[in-house]
Amino acid sequence: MYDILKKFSRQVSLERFKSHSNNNAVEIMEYNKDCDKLDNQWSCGILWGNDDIKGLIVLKFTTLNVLAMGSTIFENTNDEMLFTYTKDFMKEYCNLYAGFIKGTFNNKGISVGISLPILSDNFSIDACLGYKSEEAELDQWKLNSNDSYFIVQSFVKIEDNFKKYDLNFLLESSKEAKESKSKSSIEFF
Amino acid sequence: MSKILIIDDSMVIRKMVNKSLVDQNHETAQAENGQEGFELFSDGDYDLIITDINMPIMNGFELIKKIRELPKGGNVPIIVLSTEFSDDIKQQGKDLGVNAWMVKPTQDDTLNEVVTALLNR
Repeated sequence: MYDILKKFSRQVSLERFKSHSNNNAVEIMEYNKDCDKLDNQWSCGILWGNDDIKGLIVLKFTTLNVLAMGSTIFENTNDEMLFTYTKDFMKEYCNLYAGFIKGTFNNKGISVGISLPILSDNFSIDACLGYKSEEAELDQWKLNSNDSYFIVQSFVKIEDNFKKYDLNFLLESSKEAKESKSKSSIEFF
Repeated sequence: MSKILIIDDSMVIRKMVNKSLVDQNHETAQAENGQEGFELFSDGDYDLIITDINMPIMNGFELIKKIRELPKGGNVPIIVLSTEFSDDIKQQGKDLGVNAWMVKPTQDDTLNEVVTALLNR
């Protein structure tokens, strides 16, 4: 169950960032705790889940790396506003990422919610989770583009009640995340 | 030229949407949450609203409900631009009187097509 969630989460993180940043060169790379250290890093987190599955996504980034990775988005932005925009950009990315997870589960009849994103330079994982992070399954990876990167951490805790679900639909949905940019979902009422 | 109110807590999204609309010669105003958007709408004269759903202080659904209760808000076209795409959430929007639902991220030309379609209804 955790393996399917990990594959899904990684793929969604990649596809959502590519479309948000207009940068198709972004790729997933493995995180190496000994080599991958970011100075002056910010963290942006968002909670998703319900009583039976609890997730937390944390992005660890520097504004300079995000500026490089989303350079086309920040064109024509006033220099004084650039660093504020990069942080706002990552908060919105959190929303896109968790929003896709929420929509995918909800459309299969599994009701989950998401929080508003939280941005901080001093982030307490345990305080966000409401339990000790060791109790959660952690997966972490990097999204990288031309040697600029940020770290994605995904904490998930599954309770026994959730184990009745077959999550194979998530694998199909991660392909939809890849195609959704061209689909541009619009509905008139 | 039409006057369009953009409501989103993300500066980046407001900036992208604003640029796209200004390039099409529309006049715009921006708000960063539902409460601020409602105040701008109440005091102004807008031809169309583009709003997010998940926002602090007042979310998009509360905003739409309040706008639809105003005499001048009954017929103004409302586009939701949100990360939300669950069927039940979209149904909630439809029930409140949303005219079009767009899922982020979106492209400039797509947004302009929807804006033009609703302004010409």
